[in-house]
Amino acid sequence: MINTSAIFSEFIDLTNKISKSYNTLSTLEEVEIGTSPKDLVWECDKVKMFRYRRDTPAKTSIPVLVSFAMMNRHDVLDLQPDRSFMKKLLEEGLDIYIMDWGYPTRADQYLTMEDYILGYMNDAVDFIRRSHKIDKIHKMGICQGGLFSLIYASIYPQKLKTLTTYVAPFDFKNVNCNMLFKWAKYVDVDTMVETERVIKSDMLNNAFSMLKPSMDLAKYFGVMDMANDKDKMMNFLRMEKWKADCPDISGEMYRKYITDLFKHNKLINGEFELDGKKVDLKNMTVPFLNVYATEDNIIPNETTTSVMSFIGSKDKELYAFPGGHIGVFVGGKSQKELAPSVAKWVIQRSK
Amino acid sequence: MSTKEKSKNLLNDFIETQVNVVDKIVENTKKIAKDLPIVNETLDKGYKAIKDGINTQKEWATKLNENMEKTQEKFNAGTDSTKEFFNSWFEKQMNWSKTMFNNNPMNSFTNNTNNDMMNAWTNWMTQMATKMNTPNFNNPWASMTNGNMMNNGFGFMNNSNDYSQKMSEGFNQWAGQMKQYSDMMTKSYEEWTSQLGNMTSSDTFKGMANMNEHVSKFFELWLPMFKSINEKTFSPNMVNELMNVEKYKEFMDSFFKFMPDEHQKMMNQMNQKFIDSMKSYSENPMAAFNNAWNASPNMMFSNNPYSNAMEMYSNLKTYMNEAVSPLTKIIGDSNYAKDAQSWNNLADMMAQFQIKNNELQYMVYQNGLTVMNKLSTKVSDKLKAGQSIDSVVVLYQDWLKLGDETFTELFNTDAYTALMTEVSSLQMKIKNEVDNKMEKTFFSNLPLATRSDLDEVYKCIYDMKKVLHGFERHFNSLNDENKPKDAKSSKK
Repeated sequence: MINTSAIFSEFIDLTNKISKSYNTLSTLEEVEIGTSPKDLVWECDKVKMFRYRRDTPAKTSIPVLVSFAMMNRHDVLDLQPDRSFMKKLLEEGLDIYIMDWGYPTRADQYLTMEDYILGYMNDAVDFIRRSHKIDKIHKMGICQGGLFSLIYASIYPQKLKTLTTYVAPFDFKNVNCNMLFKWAKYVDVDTMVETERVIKSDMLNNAFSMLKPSMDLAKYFGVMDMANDKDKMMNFLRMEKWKADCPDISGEMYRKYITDLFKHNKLINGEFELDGKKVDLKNMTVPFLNVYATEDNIIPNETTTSVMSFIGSKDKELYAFPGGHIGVFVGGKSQKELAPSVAKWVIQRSK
Repeated sequence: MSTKEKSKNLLNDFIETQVNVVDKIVENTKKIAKDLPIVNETLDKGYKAIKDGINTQKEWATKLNENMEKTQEKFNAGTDSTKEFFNSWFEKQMNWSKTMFNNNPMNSFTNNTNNDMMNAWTNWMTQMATKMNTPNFNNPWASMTNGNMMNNGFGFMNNSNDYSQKMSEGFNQWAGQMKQYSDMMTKSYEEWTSQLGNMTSSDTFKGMANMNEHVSKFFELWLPMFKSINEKTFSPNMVNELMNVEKYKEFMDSFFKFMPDEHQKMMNQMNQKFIDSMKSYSENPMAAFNNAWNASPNMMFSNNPYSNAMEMYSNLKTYMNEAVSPLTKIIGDSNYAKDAQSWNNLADMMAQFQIKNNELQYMVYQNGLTVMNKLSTKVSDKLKAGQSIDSVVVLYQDWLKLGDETFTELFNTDAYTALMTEVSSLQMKIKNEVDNKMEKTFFSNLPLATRSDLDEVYKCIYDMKKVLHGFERHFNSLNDENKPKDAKSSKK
């Protein structure tokens, strides 16, 4: 039977919850993320580099450069004071620089992967080496930023003390491991670049959302249950703000990313070239910590872990984080376990 | 329009809507209870009280408006008053809705017992029967029942007599009220959103509104099934017969948003010119879908109607080319001929896009039905186990969960991926082609920089920057080479 009374009450309750949520939302101030203090130390075109401020001396004189993926902002690493992976790494004694890829526009359509890796990333690394008068720095990379950092480490191993990557895709062999990998294999990237020139973040977000089509609606049931809890609501909003803040991507960079890596898996097959020069993973000899999330539905584990047998590093380690793609940076275990472990691993290799 | 005026209009809108809703509820309730003098009397009294309440509220709102204007002048911030008013209005609205619902004779019995409408009805009727059997009892239902129904037991529940008819009417009225209420809320969301302090909060509120709207759509879609459940005629395989196909499409479209708005608008405009002629074989997916639906409500048909559409189109194209090519040969290789050919190619791409996009949507609709079938089986199992349907939200969440499983499975197939990427590619090619044609047609003779011109400028700037950055790196490396030497010499 249909319980009409209960259903009617439910609709009223639902609307009531929305009303309460509205009241809570209307009392909230500006949603701020990425608030740990940091200073702009370098910039080139739209790419910037910041250095996080420290209250105490670092435990190692060798700084770390962090590079995030280009299709999202790095602010998720510093989402809020009590959920900040960066803050935790600072507390553990690291001296941290972070790259900000900026927001490419149609004027940046011609920027290539070479410009990003051999240009901006290399210039930023050199700036730190020069500023600290050291030969090598620690490098960290997240997701696509991890892949680019591995490519960089294969070209310039002499400039890096260690490489740590988080939830990064390296091996695109198995297209059936994930819907997005399969779509990338089929997508007409040339037409996409010729038409759009810069790849719109909306387009990519739509594709990501298809991994779980209900997500964009279902999440609001949870939000309404936190209507009376300002703090929880604020946590939700911070994450929403981060998710909505997606830069577009230079078309030429995207073309190579999809064609050479996703479609033809050239890096793992030993055929990948940057600026006409082959990138050999066997040259990647720096100590390597490869962090992956066991519940990652965006970057399947096999695409991350299999790279271990292709690189030249002797000191290499896999770290299985129990959680999802973003949980690596915002979950409770991220603060309590992952950040201290990573910092310890890096500091041990700083001598 | 100033914030002050907006808020004033907002208040007026609220009151007007409120009056309309209450009027409608009273009117509908009267229709349901037209043969119930006692209920009507109570209703009239209640209605008067509500009207008085609204009038008081109107006065209060006018005063509030005045106060608000003063407050705004003083503090330059009138949104708090609006919020305050909204809260008060909302509370009253909810209470009245609940009261009206509880006063509705069709619902009073449902609120008293174990949340089971039919059991409650039976219990209530038993009580009424006991009362009616007492001497001198004035039976208010007499005019409705055409005779002594008690002598017939409760068999009338399963027949289409006045009661079950009125039950159905009541159900429809109730659904109408729900929809009206939901529409009213949706309309107001936009106004409320504009009052929020930051974009993230606004987006979140919009998201909640969308979710609420989608739940309402789902409810509307399932109403025929609810009726059937209450009439004890429901079975899982009936879902395709009972469901309104238009509403189903609307529901699915709002969930997947097949094309971004801009593209959709553009395609619609272009369809006017080019696609009309292709209508016979590239109909809107709904036509084929509808036909197939009617032919086989179980939706287990194996033939894809679009495979034929594509074949028919190819044949037509060949025929047209054969017919037209002699003419183009006569015209020769002129710009006109090239232009005509180019438009022809564009029309060709658009027809292909239309057919394939329809096929893609059709694929999703079909899988959406699989989800509905799974859900109806789940509902049926629940009913068989003697449970009642107490929550549309839970039902909707079940749909979301089953949908995730089914749709991601579909998205992972080679067939879907190949078609989806092909559609996407065609769409982009059309967009590119149209952009180029627009430039050539409208801007080529004007002293304006076109997007193509700017792309060339961007390329020049990019090349120059590359040279500049090369120099910078070179200078930096020269400095690096010099510095250690300086350091050594200074040590010496």
